[in-house]
Amino acid sequence: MKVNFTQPEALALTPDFYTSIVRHGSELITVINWQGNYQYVSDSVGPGLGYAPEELLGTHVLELIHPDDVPIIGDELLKHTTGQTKQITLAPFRFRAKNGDWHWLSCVSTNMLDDPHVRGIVTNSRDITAKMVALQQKKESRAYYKALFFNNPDLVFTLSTSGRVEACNDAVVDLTGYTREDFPESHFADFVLSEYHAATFEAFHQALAGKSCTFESCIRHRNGQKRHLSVTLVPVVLEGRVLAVQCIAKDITNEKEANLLVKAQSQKLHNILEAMVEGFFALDTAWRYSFGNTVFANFLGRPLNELMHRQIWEEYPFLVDTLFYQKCLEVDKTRKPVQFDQRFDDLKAVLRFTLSPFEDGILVSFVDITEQLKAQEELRKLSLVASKTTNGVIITNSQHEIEWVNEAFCNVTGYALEEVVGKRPGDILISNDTDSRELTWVREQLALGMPMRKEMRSYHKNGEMVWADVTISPVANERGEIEKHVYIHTDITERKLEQEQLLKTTEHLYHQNEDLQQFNYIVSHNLRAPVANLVGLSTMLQKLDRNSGRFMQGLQNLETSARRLDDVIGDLNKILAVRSTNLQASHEMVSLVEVAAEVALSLQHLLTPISGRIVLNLKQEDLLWANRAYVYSILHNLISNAIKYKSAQRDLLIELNSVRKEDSLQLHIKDNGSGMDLETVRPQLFQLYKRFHAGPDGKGIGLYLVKMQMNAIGGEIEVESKPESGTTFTLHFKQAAYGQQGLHN
Amino acid sequence: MVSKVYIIDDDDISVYLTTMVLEEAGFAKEICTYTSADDALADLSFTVPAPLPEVILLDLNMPFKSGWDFLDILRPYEATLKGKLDVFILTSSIAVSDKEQARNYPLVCGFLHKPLDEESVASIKRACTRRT
Repeated sequence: MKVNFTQPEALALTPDFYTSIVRHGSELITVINWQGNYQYVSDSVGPGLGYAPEELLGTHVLELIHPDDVPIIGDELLKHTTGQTKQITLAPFRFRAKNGDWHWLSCVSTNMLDDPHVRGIVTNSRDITAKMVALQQKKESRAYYKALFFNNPDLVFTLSTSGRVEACNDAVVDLTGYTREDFPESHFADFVLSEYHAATFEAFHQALAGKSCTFESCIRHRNGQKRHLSVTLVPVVLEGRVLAVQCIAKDITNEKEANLLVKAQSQKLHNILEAMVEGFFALDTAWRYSFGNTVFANFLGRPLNELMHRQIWEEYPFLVDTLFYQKCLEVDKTRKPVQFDQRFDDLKAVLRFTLSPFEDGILVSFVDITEQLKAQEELRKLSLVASKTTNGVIITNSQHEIEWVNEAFCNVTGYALEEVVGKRPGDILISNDTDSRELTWVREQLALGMPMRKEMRSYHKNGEMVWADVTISPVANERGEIEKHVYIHTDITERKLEQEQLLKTTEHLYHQNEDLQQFNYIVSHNLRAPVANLVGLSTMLQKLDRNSGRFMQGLQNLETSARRLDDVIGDLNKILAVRSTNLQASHEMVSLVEVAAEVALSLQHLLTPISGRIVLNLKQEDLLWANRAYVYSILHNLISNAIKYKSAQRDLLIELNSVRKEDSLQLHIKDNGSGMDLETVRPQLFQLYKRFHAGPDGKGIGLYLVKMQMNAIGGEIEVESKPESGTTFTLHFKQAAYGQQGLHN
Repeated sequence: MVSKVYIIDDDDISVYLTTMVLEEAGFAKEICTYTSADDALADLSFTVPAPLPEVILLDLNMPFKSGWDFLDILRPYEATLKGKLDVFILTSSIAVSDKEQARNYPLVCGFLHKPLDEESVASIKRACTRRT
């Protein structure tokens, strides 16, 4: 722009002109004498400082200057009076206005003491108060900034828009371990851990966009340690442009690590509690649920958050009547942990509780022991059964060695548990005379893994035989391998004896019955026959002439019949005698050779006429434990028979041979007589009154008696025969005297 | 009067007695006595037509072949003999079982207990009269 200066009219440089400029100019112009008192003050002192010019005249200049500034100004003015300096630009100083305010003045003083027109020091002052206030404010704000920046305990630093670290305070140096010199070339990303880069850059870009933000980041100390920071980025904006980014960061490493630790510990605790098979919950001092694990929640069938902070007694009022409640109160009072079991009938469960006091209440852990108790109870009952049963129980291991026997087994067998452990049941229960086929069978069953049951002889420790009902059950494991055997060993000796007794009784009854049938037969046939004849003959005789031959014949027949009747009665008596004798009592040591010789002698009168011979091939030691009379009767009967039924073709030869077989004795009585066709006669051979010879003698009682007598002394009789070649009777004497009382020695 | 009667009995006195009673009663023209079943069977010819006895008095309790054995041997001829030959058991047995067993044989017309008396002979006669 072009300023047009209009050439004014030529100025009339009059004294009024100068006076007017000085008096009314904006500058305050004063004249001070050499003493320092005001000689002149321009009018401009009024509007700025509130004085009338004449008020100041004669006032010493230093009176109005701030005491702090007086020394400087005093010294400067002194330079004028001593004539050293012509003109001085004074440092700004404070000047008191009329109202008492201090105004900053900028002043140039000129020594015009030598000027005759002035004779004083001229000051040209301007009020620079506004300027000085602004200056002061700027100074203060710098101080504040400096304080905030350098003296801040937090980390403060400035980043350029490119991210370089431009300035930082000591805290940054301390925390990072780097020196200030390290920074200028550094980018902030060099310090931030890579996993925090994303978040940090995002925040930085926000700040570049003009938005301040706070976030967490983590840097690495020069020594490698991590430092967690909470960072606030503030953009430095000037005239709408972001000049830089100011960062203020707080070291939160300790808090962070403490937090992490707390979190990790709490997770760990949680994991532990969740991993527990026990139900677990905590009650606070007001009996409110403060914690619970999943087992606990599942047990109640309720979500945990539903229970938290609820009072247990309100939630489950029925608990108040329980032991659990009492124990809770007890623990709360004593602060000592307790353990107890409680049955909950509604739940049909028994829980084992452990209550432990802790700072904030009571910890409760519980486990459902219903099954455990049931199993225990079952085990208790089982072991009760096993140990108290009257049956012997043996448990063997896979090697068939005894692991355990019960009390009953010890009682029955006489062995103590410690005597039998490790032995095989067979080693202690069987004896040499145990049937080996039975044992083989038992071993086969065991090898097959089959359960078995058998009545067996077993032996008491003292050697006594015990009849036992033995059940052996294999016990297999999950893999099907047999691990154990359980033997149930029941003493059935008594039962067995009863059985034997019963058998004997049955046998006895059978014989009795047989006897009865036999007697019935005898009565109806053999006894009745002669009686019938007697009746018939006597009837007939009455009708006959006593002197006739027929009468005499009838009379003879009558006698014969009567004799026969007598014979039958005699036979009956013999049979009854054998039956009723107390056999064992009448046994004695019988020498076979003696008895045989006696019999032979008694029958000699029958043998001699027919040139018959008897050969006795017997030994002195052929001794029998028997009833002597029976042995005599048996031999007599059989030899008589041989004589009776001799062959007409040849002379009779009877041989008696003895054969010893272990404890028994066989006696063969062999003849060369007429023999029999056994095919037809065998069924009736030894029956009463069965005759097989049409000859005159023989009533059919002899062999019957022989058999009865043999049976009575514990023997059997057999026969071999062929018509016209002879007959051999074999007598088996079971109770031969060998070993009996040692008499044969 | 019966033409021929057999007495089969091993008891000689019984045979003597029975014969006497039958003679006394004039029961038969001919009385044949046998002491064993085999002897009697030897005289009984079933193949050639020969005079059979009209009545047989049979004892039960005999050695070798009992009265029952004898009856068993006759079994195949029962149909032929029925009506021509009457068997009367004559036994000393008073056992009821024997009487029961006799019912199994169609040829057996009566069961008599020893000794044979006039009354028994009369009953035999009546049985024979009924048949003829």
